[in-house]
Amino acid sequence: MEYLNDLMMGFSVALTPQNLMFAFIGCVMGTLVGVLPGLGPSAGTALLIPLTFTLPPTGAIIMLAAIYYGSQYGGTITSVLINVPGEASSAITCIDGYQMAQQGRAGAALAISAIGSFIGGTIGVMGLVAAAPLTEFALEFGPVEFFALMVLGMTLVSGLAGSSMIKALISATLGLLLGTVGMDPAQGVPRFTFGSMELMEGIGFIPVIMGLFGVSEVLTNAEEEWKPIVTAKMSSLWPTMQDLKESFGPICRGSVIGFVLGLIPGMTGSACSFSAYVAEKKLSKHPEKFGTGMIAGVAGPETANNAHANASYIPLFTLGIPGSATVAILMGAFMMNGLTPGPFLFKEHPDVVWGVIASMYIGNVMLLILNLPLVGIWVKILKIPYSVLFAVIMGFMMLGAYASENSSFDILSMLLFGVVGYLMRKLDFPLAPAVLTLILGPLMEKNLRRSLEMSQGDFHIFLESPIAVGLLIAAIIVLLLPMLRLLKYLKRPAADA
Amino acid sequence: MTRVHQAASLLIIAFCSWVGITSVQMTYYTSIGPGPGFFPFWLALIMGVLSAIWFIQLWLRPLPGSAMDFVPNRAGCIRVVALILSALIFGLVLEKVGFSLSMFVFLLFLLIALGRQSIMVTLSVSLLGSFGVYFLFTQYLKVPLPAASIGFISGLGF
Amino acid sequence: MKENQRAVTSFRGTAAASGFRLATSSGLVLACLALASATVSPAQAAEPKYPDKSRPIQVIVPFSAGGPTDIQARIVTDFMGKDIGANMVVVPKPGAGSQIGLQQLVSSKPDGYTIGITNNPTSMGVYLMPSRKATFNRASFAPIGMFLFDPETITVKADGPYKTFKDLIDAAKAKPKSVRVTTNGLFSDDHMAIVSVAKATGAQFALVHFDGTPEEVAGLISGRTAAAFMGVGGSMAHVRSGALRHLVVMDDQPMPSLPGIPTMKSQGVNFAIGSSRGMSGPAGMPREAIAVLEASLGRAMKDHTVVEKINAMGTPIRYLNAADFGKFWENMEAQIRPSIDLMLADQGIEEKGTAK
Repeated sequence: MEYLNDLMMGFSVALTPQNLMFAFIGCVMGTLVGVLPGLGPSAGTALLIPLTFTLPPTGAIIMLAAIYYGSQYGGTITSVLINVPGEASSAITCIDGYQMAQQGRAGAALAISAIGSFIGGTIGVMGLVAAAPLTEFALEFGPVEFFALMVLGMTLVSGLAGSSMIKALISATLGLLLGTVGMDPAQGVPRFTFGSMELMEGIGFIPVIMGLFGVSEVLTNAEEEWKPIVTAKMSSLWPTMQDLKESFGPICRGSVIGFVLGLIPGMTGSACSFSAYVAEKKLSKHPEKFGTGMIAGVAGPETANNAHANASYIPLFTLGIPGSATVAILMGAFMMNGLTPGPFLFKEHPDVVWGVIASMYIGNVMLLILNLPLVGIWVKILKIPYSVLFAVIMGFMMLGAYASENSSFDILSMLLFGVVGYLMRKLDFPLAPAVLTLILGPLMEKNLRRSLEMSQGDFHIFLESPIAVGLLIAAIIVLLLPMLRLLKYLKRPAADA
Repeated sequence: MTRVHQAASLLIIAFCSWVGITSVQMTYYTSIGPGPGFFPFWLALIMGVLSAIWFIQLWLRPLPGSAMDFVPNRAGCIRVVALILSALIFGLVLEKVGFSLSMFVFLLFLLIALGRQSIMVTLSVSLLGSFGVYFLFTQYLKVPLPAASIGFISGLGF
Repeated sequence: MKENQRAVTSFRGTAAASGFRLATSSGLVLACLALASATVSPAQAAEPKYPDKSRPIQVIVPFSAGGPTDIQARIVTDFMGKDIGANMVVVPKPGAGSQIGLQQLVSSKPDGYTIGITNNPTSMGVYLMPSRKATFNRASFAPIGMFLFDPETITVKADGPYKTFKDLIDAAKAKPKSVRVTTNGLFSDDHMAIVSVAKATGAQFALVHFDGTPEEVAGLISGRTAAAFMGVGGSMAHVRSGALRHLVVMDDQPMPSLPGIPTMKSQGVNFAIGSSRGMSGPAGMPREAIAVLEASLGRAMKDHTVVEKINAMGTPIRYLNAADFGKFWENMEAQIRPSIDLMLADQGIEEKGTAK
C-alpha cells in the first residue's frame, strides 16, 4: 500500500505539463536514435547530457530515461523494413521481421513489436516498484554464475540451426573465433589484430551486424536487377486476430526473459533478445518455419529488449549499480544533479525516483500512441523503388558505421562482413548462430578468467555456487535432449525404411 | 554446386589451419587458467573438423545444379563488384575528402550507374543524403562528421 | 604509417558551413565576417588572432561517447567555447585503451584547432608498454592544463573484516593469494596500484580484473571480493550510502572530502596515483593558443556550474596550469614506470624493459 501511495505521488510529479513534455521529447529523440544506425542509446543519451544542464533535475532524468526506452522502439523499424539493425538489441528481429516485410506484412511486424515493447516495458517498470527483493538476485550473479549462464546460452545455438546442423555449428564457431579478436582477458596480449590498434578492443559489434545483415542483403539484391523488397501484395497495416493470438505467448515469455536477465549487471540487451528468439523457436510447434516470417520471432525479442531496458534500472535504484552501459550514463546524470543512486535515493528524494518511475509508465504509453500511427508512414518507405532505396540504404549504413565510433575502420570492417555475409547466404549458412556466439563468447571467456582469478585456478569454484550448478545442469540437459530423440529415432529404423 | 561448396569447405579448413598455427604461438595455459591461445586453438580445431565433415557429406550426397549457378549473370556480377568497390573507396577517402563531398559522389555513382535514375531523382537524393545529412548531424545532433582535410578541397568549403 | 594518414583530419576551412551556422545564431555581422574569411584562402590570409571564430576547435576524446571522460569534456568545453567565443566540438575517438585517439591527437596539425583530453596514467600506460608499439611519448604532447584528479583508494565493504590498510595487508600475507582484490581492467591505474602495493608490502593478492566500476562494487557488496582498488569518484556514492568504506587514499595529502582516511604514504608505502584528466594539444602548438585555452580552462574551474556538475559526479576538480601540469605528468611517469614491468610480470609476460 505504501508503494501505491508513493507511486501516486510519482504520477503527480510526472503528469505536470513540463515533465510530460520532457518525457515526450525524450521519446521522440529516442525513437530517432533507435532508427539511425550507429547512434546507439548510449551515444544518444551522452549527446544530450549537456543540453540537460539547464533543466530541473527530475525533468532532465525523465528525458534521458525516455531516450533509452524510446530507442528500443526505434531500433526495430530499420530491422524490419530494410534488414539493417538500428541498434544491437534489434539485430535478431531482422531474421523474421524482414521476411514479414517481404511478404507485405511489415505493418503487422512493426505494430506487434510496438505492442510487445509496450507490454515488456510496462512489466519492466512494474518490477521497479517491487524492486527490493529482486536486488538480492542481482547480487547473486558474480563471474561464476555469469559464466554458467553463458554456457547455457551457448547450448541454445543448436536452436538457431536451419536445414543443416553442421553449417549452424560452423557459423557458431566462426562467431566465437571473431569474439577472440582483440586483447585477451588472461594476459592482455593482442590476438589476431594484425598489429592494428582498431582491433585491440575487439571487432566492433555494430559494423559486424550491419555488414552481415544489411550489406549482404543489398549485395544479394544487386544480383538481379533490383528486385523490390516486397514481393507479395501489401496486406493490412494492422496485425490480424491470428497474429495477436500467436504473439500472446511470445510477449509473455519475452517479458519474463528480458526482465530476469535485465536484473543481472553486465547483461546486454542483445543477449536478451537473442535468448527470447531462441526460446520461441524451441517452444514453437513449427520451429522449422522460423526465419520465414514468424510473428513470434518478432514479438518475443522485441518485448524482451524493452523489458531488459527497464529492468536494468532496478540494480541502479536499489544498489547504485547500473545494469547496462546506458544506465551507467544515466547514473552520471543523476550524480551531476546531486542525486546519489542507491538505497538512500528512495528515502532522500522519493519525488525524483517515483517521478521518474511514473514517467516511464507514461512514456511507454506515449511511445505506443506515437508508434502505431507511425507504422503507416514507415511502411511507405517500402513503396520507394528499390533502385533508389538501395543507394539510400547503402549511404545510411556507411553513415551509421562511421558515426558509432568516428572511425573509417568500422566502414571497412562492415564491408568485409557484408561480403562474408553475402557468401554465407549463397552457401546457405545461417547468420544468427555467428552473431549469438559473437555476443556470448567474449562474455564467457572473460567470466571464466575472472572466476579462475577468484579461485586462483581451482575449477571447484563452479561447483560451490548452487546457481551455477543449476545452470550447468540445465545446459547439459539442453545438449542431451536432441541425442535422446536421436536414440529413439534409431530404435525404430524399420518403420521408416 | 557441389564443387563450389567443397571448395568453400576447403577454404574454411585452410583458414582454421592458419588460426590454429597462430594460436599455438600464444600461451596455451597460464598458472591459473586458459591462456590467450587456448580458445582459438580448440575453436580452430573444432571448426576444421566440422568443415571436414561437411566436405564428406557433400561427397556422399552431391548437390544438384552446376557450379555456374553460384555466380550471378554478367550484369549482376558487375553490380555486386561495383557496389563493393565504390563503398570501399568511400571508406578510404571519407576522412580526407570530407563527408559531404564523398557521400555526394558515392550516391551519385550508385544512382546513375547502378540505379539508372533520372537526373532529378539522383540529384535530389544525393544532395539531401550528403550535404543535408551533414548539416543535420553537425548542427542539430552535434555528431561530428569529418570535413575535408586536403587543402584545395577544404578551401572550397567542404 | 596508416595511422598517421588517418589521423590528419583537421577541420581546416569549414568556413562556409560555419558561416551559415553563425548567420542563424549570431546575426548578420558575424555572418559577413565569416563569409569574408571564406573567400580568402587560408594560405594567403595573415594568421588571424586565435581563436579564429569561423573555425571549430576539435576536442578529441579518446574514449567512448557517454563515458565519464566524454561527459566531463563536454561540461568543460561547453563553458570554454562560450568563454573564448569559439565552437568547440567534442569528437569521441575511442579504441585501444585511448591509443587511437591519442595517436590522432599527436599527429594532427599543431595549429590550436585540434586539441584533446589526456587521461593519465592511462596514456602513459599506452606509450610505456612495449607491446603497444606506440609511436609517441610525453614529448609529443603540449600540456594545456589539468582539470581533474581522481585519487585511487582501497575500498572495502563497510561491515567487512578489514578496518585498516594493515588488516588487509596482514590478511594477504597470512594466506597468500587468497585475498581477492579487484581492478576495473588489465593494465589500468588500479592494476598499477595493486602491483606497486604488493611489491612494497610483500603481500600477495588474488587479482580479479573486472570491466568497470559497477562490477567492482557488486563484488564488494556481495562479499565475493575483499577489496577494490578504485577511484574516489567511483566509490564515493557507495561510501556515502554506508555500503562501503575507504581504507586509504593514494594522494599526497589527506583529502578534505574523506575525513579520517589516511594517505597511503602515512601507512608506509610511498606511492600516490590517481586518474587525471588534462587538456593537451599536439607538441608544437603556438604559445598564443595554449595561453588562450589555459586561461579559459582556469576560468572554467572557477565557474560555479562547471565545478558543481563535475564535483557532483564524484570526481574531484584539481586545476593545474600548463607548466604545473607538465611537471605533474613528468613526476607521475617516473613513478609508474616501474609498475609497468611489475604488471607484465604479474600477467606472466616476460617482455622486460619499458619503451622510451
